[in-house]
Amino acid sequence: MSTWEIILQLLITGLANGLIIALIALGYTMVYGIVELINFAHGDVMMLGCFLALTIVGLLGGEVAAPWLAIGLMLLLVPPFCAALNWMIDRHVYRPLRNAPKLTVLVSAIGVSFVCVNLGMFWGGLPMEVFGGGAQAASAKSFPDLLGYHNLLGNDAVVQLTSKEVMVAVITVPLMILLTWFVSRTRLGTAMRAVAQNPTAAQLMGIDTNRVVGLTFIIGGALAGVASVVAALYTTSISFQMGYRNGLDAFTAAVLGGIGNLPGAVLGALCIGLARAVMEGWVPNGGQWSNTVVFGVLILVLVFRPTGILGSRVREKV
Amino acid sequence: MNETPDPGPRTPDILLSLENVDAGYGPIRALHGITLNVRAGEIVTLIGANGAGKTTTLLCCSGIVTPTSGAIRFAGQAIHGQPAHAIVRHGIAQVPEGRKIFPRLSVLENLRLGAFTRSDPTEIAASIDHAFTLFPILAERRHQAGGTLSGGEQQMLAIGRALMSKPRVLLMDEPSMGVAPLLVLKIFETIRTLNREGLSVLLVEQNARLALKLAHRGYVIETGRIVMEDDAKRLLADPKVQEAYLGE
Repeated sequence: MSTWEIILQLLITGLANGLIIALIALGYTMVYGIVELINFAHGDVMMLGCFLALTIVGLLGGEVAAPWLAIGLMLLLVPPFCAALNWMIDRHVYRPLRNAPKLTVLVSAIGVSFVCVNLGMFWGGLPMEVFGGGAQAASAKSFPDLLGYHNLLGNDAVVQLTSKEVMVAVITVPLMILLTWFVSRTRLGTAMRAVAQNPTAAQLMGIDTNRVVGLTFIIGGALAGVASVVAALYTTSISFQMGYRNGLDAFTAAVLGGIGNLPGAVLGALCIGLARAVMEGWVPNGGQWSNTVVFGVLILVLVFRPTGILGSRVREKV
Repeated sequence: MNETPDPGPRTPDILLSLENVDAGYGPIRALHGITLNVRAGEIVTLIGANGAGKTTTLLCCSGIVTPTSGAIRFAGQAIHGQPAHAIVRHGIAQVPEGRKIFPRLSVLENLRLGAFTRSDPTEIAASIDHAFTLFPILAERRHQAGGTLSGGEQQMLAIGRALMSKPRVLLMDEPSMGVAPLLVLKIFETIRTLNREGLSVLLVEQNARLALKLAHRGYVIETGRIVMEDDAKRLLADPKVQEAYLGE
């Protein structure tokens, strides 16, 4: 491989990873923007989405009889499941604590994360063929390779651009455009921004802040649901612990871009995706160090630029 | 909507009334049996020192703070205990303390949010035009972020935004705070104009002289209790009021 081919390959892999991280990071950053809570359970909601996706594939009889039907069905069922789960978590755990000290809610979020992780482990132990017949609940499950390997640049090309990368982009990019349009142009989107900027004033406008917060959790959960289907198809492996790594990547991305800032979350996610690709595809033995790099980025950002890349605020006059 | 039966006394022209309202924050009681009313077409002012309970009184009317006892009625209907977002729909809008403009939304977006409870786009556009007629500077700055406006401009935006819900009574908390003196006069002149057009106003002000000159009636609040109530002119001439609030 020439240098350019290596760079191109890292870009393709990095951007595909980054787009998946971005969908999760958007959920983190939207929730933070509106209730100033880091929802540590967010990555685990995405993990449970992966298990639902695998269950659906299992119920369809596994394998690749009708891959597009299976993908369509997963995209139809998993996002509403994750949205409902995220909404329930807010309604029954975070909302009763809305006026409690921030730390109380944060610790509760970690608790919800533990509950989800254990649910994932239990789910993986169900006696289903796709879970290995319930043999080892905690082991990673292989997700059927529904899209197969198909290099769109030709079989002789050194650089690989497969239908999986195209699938990632085709599903995630329009969603991000839709979300940007919703938040910046619609009445409900403006209400969301208003609640984020001043909840009391938003109530005085006649906005029901509880419903707007609930809507934010629903949208964040749905995006995590899409991310879970895309990630499962892309990496073809899921495990009950994957919420931790995906959550870490997405959280770091959100902080890197400027927590609370939607374009920032996407930008941060692309950076993290590229950093992982470089570590795993170019640095010798870098794969072992890629978590260290992500944590390192998180620490550096928090120390030197806590507002993130795009997080500089408009100066507010008092 | 669940119509609460109304056992209390009613006077036909009383628009907003507080009867023996107690309220507080956690263990701290801020209001002790506040009773006051605003009649249709009136400007009523509530004057008092810092921390006397003026802001809490307005927050109770808007439902941001829920009274622990007592009743708040609007046009005869009990509204205490309703959430803030529901109270706006009755026709009560507030220009809150410190203006509380949405800093990263444009002037136009701030105004549109004021009309969140309304749905007819033509009527909303007409209300925006009305706000621009009242405060032409807002039209010039319509695409600017609210947080970049001067204090006086933000106050105008807060008033314009509150009017967007087509309220029957406007609650105003310290509209002169942090505003240049010339603009204060302009804002008070606008309040008078709006009142002549039929809007009732409950005005909380530190600048008691200015408030009493504008208002029809006034109440004096001290440590959470109403201690005086009279015609604004008589309060302005009262030696006790002059000594305590007019700096004479």
